[in-house]
Amino acid sequence: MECGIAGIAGGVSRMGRASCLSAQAGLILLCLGHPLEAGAYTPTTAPNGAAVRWVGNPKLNFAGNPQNQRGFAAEELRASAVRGLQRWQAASGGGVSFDYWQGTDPSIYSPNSDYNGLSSIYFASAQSGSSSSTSGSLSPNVLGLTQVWYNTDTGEVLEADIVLNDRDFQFTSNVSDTSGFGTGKTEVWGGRNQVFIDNVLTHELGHAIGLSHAGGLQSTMLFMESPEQAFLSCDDLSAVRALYPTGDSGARGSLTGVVQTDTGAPLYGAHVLAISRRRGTVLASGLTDRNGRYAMDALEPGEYFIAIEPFLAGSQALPAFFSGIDPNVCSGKQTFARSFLTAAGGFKLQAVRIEARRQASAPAVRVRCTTTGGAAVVALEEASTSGSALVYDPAKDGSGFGVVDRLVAGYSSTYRMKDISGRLELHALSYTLYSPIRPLLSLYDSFGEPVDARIVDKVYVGESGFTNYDAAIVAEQLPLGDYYLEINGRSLNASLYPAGPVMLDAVPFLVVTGSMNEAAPALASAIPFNPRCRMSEAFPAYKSPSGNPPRRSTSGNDGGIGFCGQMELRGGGPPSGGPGAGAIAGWLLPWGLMIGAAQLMRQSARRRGSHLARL
Amino acid sequence: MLRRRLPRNLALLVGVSGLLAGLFAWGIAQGTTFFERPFPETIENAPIVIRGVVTGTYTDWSREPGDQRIFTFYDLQVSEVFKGEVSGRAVLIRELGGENDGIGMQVAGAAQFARGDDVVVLLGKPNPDGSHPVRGMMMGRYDILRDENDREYLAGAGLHDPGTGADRHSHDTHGDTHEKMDRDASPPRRWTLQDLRQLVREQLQLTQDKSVENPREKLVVPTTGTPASEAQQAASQLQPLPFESPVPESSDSEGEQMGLPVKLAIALLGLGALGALIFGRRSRHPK
Repeated sequence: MECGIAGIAGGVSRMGRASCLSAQAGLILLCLGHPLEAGAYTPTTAPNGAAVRWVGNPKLNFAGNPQNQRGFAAEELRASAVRGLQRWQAASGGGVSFDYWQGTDPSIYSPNSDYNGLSSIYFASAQSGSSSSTSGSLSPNVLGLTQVWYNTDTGEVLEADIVLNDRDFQFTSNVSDTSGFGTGKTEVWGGRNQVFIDNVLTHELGHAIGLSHAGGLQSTMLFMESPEQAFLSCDDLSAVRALYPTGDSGARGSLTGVVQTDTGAPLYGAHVLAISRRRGTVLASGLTDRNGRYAMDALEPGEYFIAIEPFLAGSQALPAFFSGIDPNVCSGKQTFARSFLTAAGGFKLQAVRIEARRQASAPAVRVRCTTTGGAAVVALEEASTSGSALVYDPAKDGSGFGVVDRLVAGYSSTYRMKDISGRLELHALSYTLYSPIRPLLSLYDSFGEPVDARIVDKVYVGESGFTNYDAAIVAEQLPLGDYYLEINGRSLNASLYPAGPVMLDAVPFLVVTGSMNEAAPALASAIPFNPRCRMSEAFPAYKSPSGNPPRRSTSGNDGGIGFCGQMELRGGGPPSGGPGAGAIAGWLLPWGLMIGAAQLMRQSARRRGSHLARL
Repeated sequence: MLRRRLPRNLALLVGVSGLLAGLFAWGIAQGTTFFERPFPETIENAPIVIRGVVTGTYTDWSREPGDQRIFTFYDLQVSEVFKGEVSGRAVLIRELGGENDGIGMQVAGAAQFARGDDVVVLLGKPNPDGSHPVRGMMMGRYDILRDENDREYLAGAGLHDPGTGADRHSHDTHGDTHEKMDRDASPPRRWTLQDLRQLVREQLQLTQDKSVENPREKLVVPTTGTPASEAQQAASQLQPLPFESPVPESSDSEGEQMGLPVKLAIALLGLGALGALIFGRRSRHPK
């Protein structure tokens, strides 16, 4: 049988034949399932396309070993690990649960990433000596690592081991400590940066549940450490629900679509952003496959705008399944520009409506190639109330709109909204889309008078100091009339953006979304209604179960993994590898013989003594 | 009685600890949360920087005792050594992850290579199995592209140069911190291979200058546990080397492939067990 036991040849079955067959029968079902299901995130994916994730609604068991040489307190590791697990548990709506044990006995709490049936969390400095693999591969560029072990046929996660690089970084419990971009305070050259441990550990736990790296600026799964990363964002919340559907899955919908090059060929590896019109933020993201198709699951019902951008972190940040991503598809091997699904005119965003239990199909997006760099955006020309561009007409646009426009630092743009009455809510996104500009909003009536409105010029400011410079404006009880939104642009420094300059666009642009007299988003209870979808972290107190953490069998005789053979750690490579079992046995044999002889002598002496005593 | 049993326990402890220490000496760690350091610093921290073409690949469980991880190995035909030393024209490099025996292991951000890739890689010191680890995972792998003037330049995740941060804390005209009116979003610097050669030369020269100025001062490379002596070891020649020795052939004697830590651990274990028996026997048969 290929499924599950393929490649374990040479192993010795420890199961009875009947139980083995029984397990195989179950395993066949697993083998038939789990095709790659893209969905509002970047999944960890096996080379055969199977999604790498735990089966069903899993309970994750982690064993932490707090030993380290940096003075990081054991209780702080425990608190951080539990918080991280609670975040994912809460985000999943109960789809994922956990238990966590912690101790220092290395025979129980293994401070390594071996495939040993135990999902471990530990510090690199706990390892004695200077291991070649640690000092060689664990560089000052790397803060933490998760090894995800899985069944190659089914993609079922078997174990996940997390190591934290406290050799090159000083982990702290201070939420404002970060090594990365996003605060404008990054000191990048030299030094051992202090890093809030939750930023790293919560991200690594995301890998453990089956998520790969994301490109979304606010995502915990962003490939670079950044401030506020500890707190799950909209994309992370959608991702865990898509991976492990729960009770509200019937209240969610999905989105599919195709992205093409400027010549109409399928575009592989494009980063697709779903911008919720109502929320005025990026709610989910995904990647296109080799056919240019993308799919996003577990989306909140509502209208979405689609943005396409290169996955600028590169395919190296993703599983090998996504190898070969090349955004340089324009003539002259130039990178395609950030592009949008737009209606006629090139600046009006075309909305795609998502409904619960339905799969919406978005029109194909053909990315654009610009010669001047920056987003492929048609600039609206008007810049005064007298000649402003009309962006909203209730007769055509219904309850809302979206436009994309260029914005020049130091200049203003003005947009006209026709026949507005009641409540108006506007969002201006630039920072979130890696546009190097900050919008400042003002609202005027048709007489040019400022309108009394609540203006938010930084839509999110976190405890870490991270600031989202997108802007919003809310006006209530507006009398019927035309209104004008004026936006002034101011440049932002690249160091204020998580992931830094790599993702930043060359030319400033912004997206404006508007909602007229609309209620709160449909899933505001599950996806908090704020620009980051930031959850409350009033988690209940957690107490570890008594006893030691359970160690899952790696040989398959517990039925949990479904293998019918014993894994044999055999060398398949060239003979220049490390010592084999024979070599070790050869070295142990003389010692074993000596010990055995000594034991026999001792027993013999004891027998003689007792015989003499009887006499 | 208790006093007499202590040495036995102690001996066992020493033996077991020795074994564990030996096995853990090949411990683990790499990473998937990345920190973007300036490219020159990344080069400065790398013991070995070479260019080569990937000629073969396979996955396997680690052959190091006690190490239960899967690696993907790549054969690299070396065409240029920028920094450090390698033992031949053919170099074996390895990176975490792969599939073997029905078990897969993935690490997001692990460096990936395909046969035929012409790359510049940053490597660590050789592993006990003779392979070199890729240093910094995806941050240690660079493609080689050609610009409009047919000059070769590097492309890779480690090249998103954040700069020096000199203008980070400026104030704009509105008084807000962390903002700057005139900052452009210029693309990261393009590093040609000639730039890389020059960078290594300059770093080496700087190190040598420091050595001359402070001959008794131990050189320390910032932010890394890598000793300066290995990190700063520039290639003796920066052009393709006339390699004298091929990659070490595998030995027929498996024992010769065992590292010192394992031998030491086994010896300690044996000594510990013997000690335990001797002391234990004495405790039961006092003179």
